[in-house]
Amino acid sequence: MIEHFGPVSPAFVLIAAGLVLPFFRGRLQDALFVLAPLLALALVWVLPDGSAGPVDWLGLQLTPLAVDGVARLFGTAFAIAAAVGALYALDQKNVVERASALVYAGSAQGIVFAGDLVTLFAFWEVMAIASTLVILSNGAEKAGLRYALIHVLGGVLLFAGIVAAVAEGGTAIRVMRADSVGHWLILAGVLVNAGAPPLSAWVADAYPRASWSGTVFLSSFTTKAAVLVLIRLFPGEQALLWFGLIMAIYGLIYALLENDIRRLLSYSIVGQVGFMVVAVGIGSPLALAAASVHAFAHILYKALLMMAAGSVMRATGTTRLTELGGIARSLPLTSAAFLVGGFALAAMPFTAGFVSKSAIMQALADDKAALPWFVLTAVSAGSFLYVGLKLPWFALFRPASPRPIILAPRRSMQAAMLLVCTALLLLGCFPNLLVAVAPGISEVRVLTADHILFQFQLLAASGFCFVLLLQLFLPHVAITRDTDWLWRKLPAVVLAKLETIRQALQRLAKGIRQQIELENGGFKPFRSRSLLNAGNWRTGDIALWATALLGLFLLIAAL
Amino acid sequence: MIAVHGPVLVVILPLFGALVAALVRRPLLAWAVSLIAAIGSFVVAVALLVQVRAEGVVSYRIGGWAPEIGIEYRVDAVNGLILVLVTAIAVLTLVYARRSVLSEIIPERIAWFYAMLMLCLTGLLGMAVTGDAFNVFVFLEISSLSTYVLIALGRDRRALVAAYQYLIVGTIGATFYVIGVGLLYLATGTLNLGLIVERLPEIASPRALIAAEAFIVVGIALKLALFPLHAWLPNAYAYAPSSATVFLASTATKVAVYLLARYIFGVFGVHLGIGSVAIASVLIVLSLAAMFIASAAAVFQNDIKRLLAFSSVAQVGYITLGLALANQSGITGAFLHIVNHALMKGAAFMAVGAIIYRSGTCKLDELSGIGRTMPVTAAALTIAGLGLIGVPGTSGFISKYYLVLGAFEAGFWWVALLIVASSVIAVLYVGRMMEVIWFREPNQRCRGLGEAPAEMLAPMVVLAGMTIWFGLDAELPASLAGAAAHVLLGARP
Amino acid sequence: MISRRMLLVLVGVVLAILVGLDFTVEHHGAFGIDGTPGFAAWYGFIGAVVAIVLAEGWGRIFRRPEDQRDD
Repeated sequence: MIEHFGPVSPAFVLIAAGLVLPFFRGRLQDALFVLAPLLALALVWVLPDGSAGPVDWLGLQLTPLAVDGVARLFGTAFAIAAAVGALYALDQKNVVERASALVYAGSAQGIVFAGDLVTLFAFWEVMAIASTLVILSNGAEKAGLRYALIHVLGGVLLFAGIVAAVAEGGTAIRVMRADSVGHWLILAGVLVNAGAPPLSAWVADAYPRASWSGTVFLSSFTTKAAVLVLIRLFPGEQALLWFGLIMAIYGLIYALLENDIRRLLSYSIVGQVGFMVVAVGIGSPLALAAASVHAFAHILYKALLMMAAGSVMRATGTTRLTELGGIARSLPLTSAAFLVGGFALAAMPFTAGFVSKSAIMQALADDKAALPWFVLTAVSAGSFLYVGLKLPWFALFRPASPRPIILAPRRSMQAAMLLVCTALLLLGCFPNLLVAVAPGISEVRVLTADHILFQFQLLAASGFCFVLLLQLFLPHVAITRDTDWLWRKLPAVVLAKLETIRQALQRLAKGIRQQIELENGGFKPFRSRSLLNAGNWRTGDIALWATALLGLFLLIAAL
Repeated sequence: MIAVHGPVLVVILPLFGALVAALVRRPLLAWAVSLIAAIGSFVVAVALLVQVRAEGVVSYRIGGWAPEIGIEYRVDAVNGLILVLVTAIAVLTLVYARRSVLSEIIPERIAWFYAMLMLCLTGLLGMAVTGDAFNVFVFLEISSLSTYVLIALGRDRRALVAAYQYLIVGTIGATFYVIGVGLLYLATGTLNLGLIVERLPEIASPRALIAAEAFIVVGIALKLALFPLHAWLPNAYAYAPSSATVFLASTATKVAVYLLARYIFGVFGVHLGIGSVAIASVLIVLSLAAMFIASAAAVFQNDIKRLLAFSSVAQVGYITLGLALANQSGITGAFLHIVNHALMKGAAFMAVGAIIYRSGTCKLDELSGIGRTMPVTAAALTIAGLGLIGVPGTSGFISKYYLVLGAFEAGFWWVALLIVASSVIAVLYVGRMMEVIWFREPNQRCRGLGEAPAEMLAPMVVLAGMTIWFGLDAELPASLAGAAAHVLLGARP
Repeated sequence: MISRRMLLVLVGVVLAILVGLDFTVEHHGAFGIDGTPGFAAWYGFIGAVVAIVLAEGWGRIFRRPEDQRDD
């Protein structure tokens, strides 16, 4: 094995741990659950740069393990997210969720360290299955199946694209342009996972259906792994600029309208991934480094926000803003986590989010990309509205009789949140820590007076707008129709329409048939059957088809 | 002896097995005889395949007659693979069948069941091994007649209707086939496939040959349940005894596909450039229709056996599509999928049979949470289901990879897209099963059940394990299928 | 408890101080206008207002009761 794969990949550690986890009980299982991600983290850092020798598989050159700076950055983020998520989830006793969360985290590492397209695809599919199981383990059957379908769709697009790419240029991971069918298919498949339009709705549809702890894992891996693949395959692809901008605006608007905290945060994922996708579309070395660092920071603060939301969920039984209020007093640490995470998302100076967003904005400025720069600056101001003002105000501080606390957050949950809070603030105060892992952003001016002032003005102005227009921010007990209408409601509408048409046709046909039967002495024309009864054909129909096919062959051949 | 008489031994052994099984009349003894015969046949088939891989072609003249007048058995890389597959499935089915048959068939008929199963095996092996067009018809009838009986032995009364329908349809198919063979004989004066190929170029007018090709292809298409000639299959599979379903689903359509490949590439491909082009385009359309419509029908089934049967129609669509692509990757994909689909569908139907054995039902809505009480069986069904979708790590992924590759090489990128898109529908029907068996609370019926007996589990686990193994290390099946594709394409000018 | 009006004044004052400070630092604008003092304040305000107005309009059209929530 070792000769074949060389050094052990963090992916295999996590996947193996996930697979054996159900065979352990109690403390031992807990230990495995938390230690496996830590071991993976250690591996990410001890693995030397370069790739393990190619393995020949069906005549394809596979490189299951290829390490470089970007891989290490994403691998670190994923491993930290998995470790913190596991620590947070120690009170989650659902074995299916635990096991699939580890496999899920492992598949994310697999994508990060994949050295060829086929390995990448294999882990991509494992990721789809494991993440679906995380959702299903919470009993969300329909949502889980919808999620699975979207990801299988993305997976098959990617698969077809990769086969085409392999046929034309081998398995190597290489920079592509969306200039051929195969490349477009790959781009489309990756964008599905990134939460890009028109299928973006899956994020907010699926993530909030997982358990209070499962959502933390979900929010960390899938979309960011897609960003990594975009960085590897499509840096500088013009189309990404537009996809990213639409995602940023879409995420903002839907998050502003959302009532449920976990759905709000899911929309915000799409919005923030939009920033990264825009940066990948710019494609300069700085922009790509900025996208990676933003992914890194985003994984941390979104995991923190999801953990806070999860502990509210677990403590009060709901995450709807309309039903919450004044929980700052009953859940102080959770509330602090909301604030730190929210400020990091809004790029408040002295948080990690400020470093990474500054890097993205500077990359846009250096590239003279005026439109993206102005749009994303406005979106930044807008993001503060929902995550730094609306969410804290209505959930934490609004004067209301707070909901009773059913389950107080456990020590392990608090420790996990505290760890990430500390990390976000440390990285924000000492940006050089991030520069050390992503040297590409070393020239970005972060903590300079004009820059800090700029950001504080932006946030203060946003705050002014919030206080001024508070009435418009009142949450509604409602959801906003999203593109998932296309696959959740449209089919029913279309089927109903088809049914009316069919009935109309049937009435018409009945008239004609009576006429024909009169003329032909009882001949009944072919009737359509519902799929349920498919296969219950009369023997005569099969014979008819056989004859028809025979005739068809003869006709074609004779022509 | 194997070295010299292998091609005929492989057919004779199960034939004698059938005879003895019918004579002994005792269930256990009949089973043992059948198993021994099947194992013998399997050993011979493997020996033949090894010999073929070393020497190329093994030819055997029955009674020493020259091919012009006598019958020639001919084994090459194409049917060598089919022989091993069919005999292997037969052995595993027999191991599995003893317990299953005891619970599903009344004791007096059990020996007949084994006799019929062995006859069916004889017919299928004969169809694969013979190099004589009319001899194919004889074996086709042997396998069909025994299949009718096998289906009719099902415990459900609807099995009789299903068997009757298949009888009519199968007879039409066989008739079409024999008409086609007759036309070929009129044109060439021989029934030996090799000689027909040699003499085809001398035929002045291709009209008779076109008609022959149309009749033969449609006749075989009925047997392999090519959409829209598939309607006999769902009911036949659903109501036949579980072990019969396992065997038929994994072998019968596969041998028919082999015959189709043999005719369109080995026989007509040489002479009728135009004919195969027309057939290829029609075949592509029908295969795609099968992949989508039959999969969609599977989604709506409540009876797992019917669900899997519709899935079989769809999967046969992948195979015929691979043939229709008519390039190395496409045909390799088709033959890989013949093997892989046989393995995973065998495992799936064995799992369903085990579920019926324990719970007495295969209605999806009555099986909630069965995964908790029959974990190994449910796991085998899950692996098979993942294979049907084509998830990486299962053999289904490998065959789909070759098919998509073949589509791109043929320049049909839209076909490639449709191949992968149809997997999404497979997710729907597999997902429905998985959701019910794993994620629902066990209902009253499923709560007290135990795991299936070990001798039913063992062959199931072997097949499911092969599905995973061939998904991770596809070297062996890929090289065998590649060799088969090479032979088929090499026979063309 | 401070009233909303007081809060508004408070935030306004903070904003004004920030803008005032902005005149004292050296700017590195990339597009010209973004380097002018107080740009972030007015652009951020407009951005926030546009965002909430867009969202409100979108919500008016597409807001639905929670009927899809439980499946």
